[in-house]
Amino acid sequence: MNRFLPLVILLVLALFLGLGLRKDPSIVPSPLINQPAPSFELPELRDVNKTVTKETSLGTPYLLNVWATWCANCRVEHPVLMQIANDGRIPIVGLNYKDDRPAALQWLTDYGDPYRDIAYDESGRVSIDFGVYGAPETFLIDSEGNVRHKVIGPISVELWQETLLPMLAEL
Amino acid sequence: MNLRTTLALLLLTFSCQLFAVTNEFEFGNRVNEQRYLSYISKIRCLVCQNESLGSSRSDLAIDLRNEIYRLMAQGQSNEQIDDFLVSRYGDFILYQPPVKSSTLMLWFGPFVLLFVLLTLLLFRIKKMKNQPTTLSASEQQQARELLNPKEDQHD
Repeated sequence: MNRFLPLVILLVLALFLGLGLRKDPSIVPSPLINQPAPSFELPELRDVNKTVTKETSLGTPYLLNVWATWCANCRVEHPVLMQIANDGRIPIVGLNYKDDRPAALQWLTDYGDPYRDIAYDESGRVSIDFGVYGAPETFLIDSEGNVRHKVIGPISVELWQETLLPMLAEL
Repeated sequence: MNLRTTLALLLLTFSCQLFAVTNEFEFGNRVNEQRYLSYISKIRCLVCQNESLGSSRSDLAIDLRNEIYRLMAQGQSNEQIDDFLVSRYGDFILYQPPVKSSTLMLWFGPFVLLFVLLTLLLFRIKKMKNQPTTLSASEQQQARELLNPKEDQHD
């Protein structure tokens, strides 16, 4: 037994290190999962006279997509968002994060506009309440306004089909 | 370059680094500078994870420093600010994670391991001490044979 002890210790260590290698440290789990989404009130990006609040979207599940024109991965994600919008199963609300309004409007003209509402978070203060630390990030929020899932990084077609759609079916 | 110039340049270099953070805000009665600087050195910047909030230049770090300064100016305690950050970003934002069921292994695992290994070591030492130091007759015989092999045992 004693002869094998070092081997056992090595194997346990290897198991933990192996598990550690499979984790992506840049993905920090959000404490907001299964918690009510933070309240907010922000101007609408496209229509200065309108405001977007948490209450605006209560009643149906929706995706809250944090994006900005300075974010390269948002460009990668954009066609998938267009596809989700055209699919029509879930509305997408944009949270435009620390961006420049004219540039953001130009982006929507150039690449298409998948958003039902867009909250314009120029200072980034509301995004801090959502625990945003990069873009893109996307929250799946249910009809009662609770956060159910968070995607860090761009949504891919696979992620939409294999993760978000099944979750949406359960809401 | 003589020693004095070198020293002056060195001092200037370091003073700039200190200013890089402190000149963002005004410190006085409302917010204590030492408290602020030591606090932001214990918070992780989530954008560049191996840097503290205090040393990071990322946009988010600047925003969070503003927020922390604002909360301190409002008179909030370090624990309240910890709660503010953890409720949004999770425990990972603190360099020193809180003691709770999911972090028990992290906090006490090494001590448990140390205790187990020390116990094993003590047992082994005890076992070695209990072994008789004198050899029995048959053992003496065996030892003699090993030390003085007889000719006929070899080819």
